[in-house]
Amino acid sequence: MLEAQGLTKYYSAVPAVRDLSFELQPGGVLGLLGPNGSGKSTTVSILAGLLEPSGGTVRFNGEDIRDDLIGYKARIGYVPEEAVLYSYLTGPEYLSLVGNLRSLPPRRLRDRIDGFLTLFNLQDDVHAPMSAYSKGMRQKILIAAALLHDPEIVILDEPNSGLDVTTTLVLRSLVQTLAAEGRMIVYSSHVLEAVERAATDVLILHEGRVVAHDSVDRLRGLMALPSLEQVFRRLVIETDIDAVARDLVRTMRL
Amino acid sequence: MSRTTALLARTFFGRFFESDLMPPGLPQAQLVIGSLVALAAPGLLLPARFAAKYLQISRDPQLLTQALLVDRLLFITLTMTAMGLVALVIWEGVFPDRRDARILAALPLSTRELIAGRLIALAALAGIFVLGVNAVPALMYGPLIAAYGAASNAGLGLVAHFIATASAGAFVFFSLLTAQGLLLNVAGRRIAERLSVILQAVFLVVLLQMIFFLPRMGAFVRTDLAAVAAHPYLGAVPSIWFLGLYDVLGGRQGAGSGPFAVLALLATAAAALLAAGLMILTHGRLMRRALEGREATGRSGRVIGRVFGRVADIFWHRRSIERAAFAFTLRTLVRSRTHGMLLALYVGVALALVVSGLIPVLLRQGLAGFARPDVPLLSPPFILAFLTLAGMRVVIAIPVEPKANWIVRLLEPGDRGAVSTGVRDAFLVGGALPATAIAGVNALVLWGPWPALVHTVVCAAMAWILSEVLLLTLQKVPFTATYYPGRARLRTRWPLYLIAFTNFCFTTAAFELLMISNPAMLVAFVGASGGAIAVLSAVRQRRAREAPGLTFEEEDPDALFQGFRLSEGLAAQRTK
Repeated sequence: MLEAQGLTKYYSAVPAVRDLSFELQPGGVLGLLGPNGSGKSTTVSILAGLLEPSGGTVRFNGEDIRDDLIGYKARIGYVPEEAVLYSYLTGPEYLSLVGNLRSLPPRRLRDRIDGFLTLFNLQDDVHAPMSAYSKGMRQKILIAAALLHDPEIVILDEPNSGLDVTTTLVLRSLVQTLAAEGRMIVYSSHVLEAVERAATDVLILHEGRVVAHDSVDRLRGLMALPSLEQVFRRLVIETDIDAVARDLVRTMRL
Repeated sequence: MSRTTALLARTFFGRFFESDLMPPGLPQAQLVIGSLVALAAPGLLLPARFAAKYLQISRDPQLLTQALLVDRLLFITLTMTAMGLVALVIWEGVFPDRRDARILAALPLSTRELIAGRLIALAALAGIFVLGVNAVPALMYGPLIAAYGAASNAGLGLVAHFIATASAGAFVFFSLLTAQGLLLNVAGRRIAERLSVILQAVFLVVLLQMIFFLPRMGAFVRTDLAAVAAHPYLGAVPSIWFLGLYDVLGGRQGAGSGPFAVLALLATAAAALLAAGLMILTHGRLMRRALEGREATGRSGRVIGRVFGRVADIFWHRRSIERAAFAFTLRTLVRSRTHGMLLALYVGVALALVVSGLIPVLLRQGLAGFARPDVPLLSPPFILAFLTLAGMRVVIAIPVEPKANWIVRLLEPGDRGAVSTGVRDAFLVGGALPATAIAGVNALVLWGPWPALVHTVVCAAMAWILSEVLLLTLQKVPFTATYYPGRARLRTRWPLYLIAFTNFCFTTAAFELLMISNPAMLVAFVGASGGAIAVLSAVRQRRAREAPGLTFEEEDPDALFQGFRLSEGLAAQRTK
């Protein structure tokens, strides 16, 4: 079980996340939602062990992850928000770097790299540096790198970014399959529909605070709204969206 | 000039300083002034020294004439080197690249405006640096040479100094730009980008060589340039042409100067016209290519790398962390332009030192000078190994794509000794192996099997020891941590480094001479160096293991190096 208790993070006295708590059981998919600057990426970075929280703890199977951070990191797969990679490496070279850092046996690593590249239709680009890849291709490499070692926890931060329709659908199905196998998934995204379909629980953040945390169905039911998008609008969006659009057009013509 | 052209010229001028070799974020004026001061400093200091020297030797007319010729040649050479360095720094920003094409092609701008903007920016840059480097020395040195009879009067001395040195600088500057333009047009941007690091290193070696070679020229320019004109090769050295121009413009033309002066003017005009012509004629083509072209795939090189990697995996690296560190270090050194360029600087200096050490042997004794091993002939592989390995140590401390280091932080290897061993192996393959191979092959061809064996063994052992020593303090995964300048403490430790360098290169070579004549000494050396390697390796691995963790960020953020656009501090700022 993955458990966050009272997570708080300050950047130079500015709070990014305040008192965030949740539990994620094996087989669960936690959807993280929130507008820009709500603290989603900070939360994800803390869960991935990349950031140290200013307060609170993250526990995995009852143990504080900080007690054995390297051991914890060996059990997670992480897709970051931005596709930042060593762009002068080719896709297979990058995956090989990741696999070797994860101490995968050479033959198994080669087989898995070949498998992922084939499944993601990247075989024709195995000799090209990733600087020549499209955004979607880079994203596929990131997803492959996160799954290379068969992780127990998968943390996805905007994983759909740049993906084509087919791969987006494959990813959604993949999340459900992994969850069905008992893995824990943290799925942070702006794409409400994707989260609504994949997540068992949703945690909505606004200005660093949790404004809602429940299953999608219960949230819809509690608020008597037909979709997660409308729940999200009600809880988080303080702007008159149509008015802003009209103002933008007016400004364009000034 | 239209407002658009002026704006474009200002933009392109700024782009010149966006090279990987220049620190970002500095105000442009500060960059230009800083560079100017650095490049002009030698020329500003020399006239006063020369004035004192001429006063001392004024009673010996022959010596004075020779000194006046060689010193003028020095000013010309310094300007050529300075302008060459400027051209190498702005190398990437001169012709349109993909970013230019993507931004500018979408705007309603004519090709004429774009070309005019670039040419004006180039002319302004060349003008600023030529003027900055030469104006004050011309004012000081021109009248001085007139006083000693090398120019008809002070005014002519001033004009001759300025025009000769400025033309020499312009010649080198525009020649390098022409070379880049030709490369881009003939080979395409893919190959040009790959070759540019090698070419830049070659140009750097040539430029440095011009300075190292200068003392030798004195033997040929005693009273005039007649002896140079008669020499089969020296007449081809460009700095001599501009010395001829200097002579002619000063109004005291010596024998042999006239043809060189004409050559200097023609060469400068040709270089400038070719650079401008290439820009005008091929701008549209390069923009089109930049928009249409895909980046290199480099299939053959990567297949070779993959095969080599497999072989290394099977026979060499048993731990996967070692494999990761080894492959990552070598791949980054080979593929990151910034790191490749920095390493090329070290290799370039090494090659320049090697060539300047061998030229006296060649001039003194011809090929017969290479018949038997001697310290100057044995030292080149050591020089190459020392500077290449030292360069690698410096370069691996500078991060590459800092935001991408999240993956290494996420997967922080527990076996830190394996990381440093993987890096050590990369040092052996990238620095020790080439130097050792050169040593072995050269010695075999020149002196036969036994000296070749000794030379190979000694070079390999010394390079291995140096690799171990250089990595004793490594607590990072290469290229992934912030760079904290000043760790080498060059200001205070330079005598130590100099002693290390001279002992590594020359004392070892002298010692090796003894081993060639006494095999028992070689056996003793192998035993001692093997022991040293074992001890150093154990210490290195123990230190790495005992460290509390790998370093990714330095503790003093105010002291973060902000060059090369690679600082984690800047990356973090951009992330927030």
